[in-house]
Amino acid sequence: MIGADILIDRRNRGSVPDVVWLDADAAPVPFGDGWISDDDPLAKHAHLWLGGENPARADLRCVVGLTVHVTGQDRQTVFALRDRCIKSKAKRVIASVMTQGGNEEFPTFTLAECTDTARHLTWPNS
Amino acid sequence: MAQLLSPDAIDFGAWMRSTEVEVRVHKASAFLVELEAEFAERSPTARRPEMFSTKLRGAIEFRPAEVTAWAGYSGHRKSTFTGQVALDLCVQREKLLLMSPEMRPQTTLGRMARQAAGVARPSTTLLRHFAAWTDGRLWMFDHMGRIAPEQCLAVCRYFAAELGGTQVVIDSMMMICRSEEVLDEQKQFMTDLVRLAQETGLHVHMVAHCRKPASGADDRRPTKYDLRGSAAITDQAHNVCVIWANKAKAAKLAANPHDEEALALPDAVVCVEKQRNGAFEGPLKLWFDDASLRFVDDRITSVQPYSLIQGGP
Repeated sequence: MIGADILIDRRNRGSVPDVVWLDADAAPVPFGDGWISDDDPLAKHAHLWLGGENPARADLRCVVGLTVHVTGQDRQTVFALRDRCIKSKAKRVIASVMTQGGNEEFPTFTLAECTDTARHLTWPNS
Repeated sequence: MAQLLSPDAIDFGAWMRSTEVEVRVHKASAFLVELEAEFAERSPTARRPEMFSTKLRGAIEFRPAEVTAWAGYSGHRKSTFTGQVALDLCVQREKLLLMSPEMRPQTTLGRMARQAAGVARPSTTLLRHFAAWTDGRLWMFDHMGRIAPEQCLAVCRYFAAELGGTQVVIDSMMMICRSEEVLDEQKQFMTDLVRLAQETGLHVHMVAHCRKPASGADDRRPTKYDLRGSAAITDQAHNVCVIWANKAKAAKLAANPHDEEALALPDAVVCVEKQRNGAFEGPLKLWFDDASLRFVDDRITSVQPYSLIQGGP
C-alpha cells in the first residue's frame, strides 16, 4: 500500500490526519498538495494508493479509528477496499465509484455510486 | 512550527502489534486474482527470462519473485557462467544488477564483453558499443570486499524500487555472510532474500560454493546436497543449479591436445538440481570456448557475437 509507511510513521509519532484518501485506481489522478509527508508538517490529509496490490488482501490497519474516503473507477475494487477498511476498524468509510468522461487532456469524473458507513453521503439511496 | 494534525486517540503501536498475525490470514477466495493468473493463457510476448545461449533455453525460466542458487566447486567457472546468464537476460531487456564484491566491475564487465563479442580481445569500438548497449539493462555494484547482509538487501530493494530492476546476481554468498560455516546467519539471509524477492518481484541469482570432496579431487559432479554451509540455501531457493567443470578433460588435453576421446567429452555440466515451479530437472553437457569465455551446446557450435545494436534484439 503506497503511502502507508508515511501514515504509520506519523501515527507512531502520535498524530493523525483529518481524512485518509485511498485511491483504488492503478494510476490515480494527482489531487495536488496538502498530503502528509515527511517534510510537510502542516498537511492534514493522508493519501494511500493501492498500486498493484490485491484489494482483498490489502493491509489497511493504519486507518484504524480514522475517516477514510475510498475512490476509484472499478466498483469491485472500491468496495473490496471499503470492506478492508471496515475490517480494520476505520471510524467512517466513504466509498465513491467514479466514471471517467471528457478526453485524455481534460478528463471529467462523475459520481456513479457512493456508500457511507455514517449513511449521510450514501447515494443513490436504496 | 505549528502542528495542525490531531493527536492520535489510539495506542497505535499496540494495535499494530496485536493485529500482526491476523492480517496474514485470508479467505482462500481472496487469492482469486492470482489463481486466475496461474491458469491464464500467456501471450507470446510475455516475459520469459531465460538463458537462451545454451541448452538451458526452455529448461528453466528466471521468473519474478524467485531465488536461484548457482553452486559449484571453487574454480569451476561459476562466475563466468552466471556472467553469460546475465548477458542473456540483458538481451531480453531485463534490468539486471551485478553485485560481485569478489571482482572489480571492470573485470566482470571485461569477461562479459568477451562473451558478447565472441572474441578474446574486443576492439575499442566494440567495447564502446557494448557499454552503450548495457545502458538501461545492466547495473554494477561498485564495491570490493565483504558487505553485510542488511546492506545487500538494501541495495536490492533500492534497485527494484528506484531503478525498476528485475534481476540481481549476487556473487557470492561468501562475500555476504561472515563465514559459510555460520549457519544461522546464512539461514536468516536466505529467508530474507526469498522474502525480498517475493516483495519486490526481483529474481535473485545467488552464487554459492560446494564442499570439495574428502578425497580432494573435484572430478565428481557435486549435487545440491554438497552446498557448503546451511541446508537452508537448497531448501529455500526456488531453483538450484550446479555447475561443474570437467578438469579431468582439461588435464588430458594438456598432455595431448589431439586426444579425440577427451575432445568428445563435455567441458562442463550444468545440472538443474531443483526447480520448484518448472518441469525440467537434470544435467546438461556444455562445451567451453576459451577465447570468448562462452559456454556452447556442443563441440562444433561456433561462437557468434551477440547483436549489440542499440534497441535490439
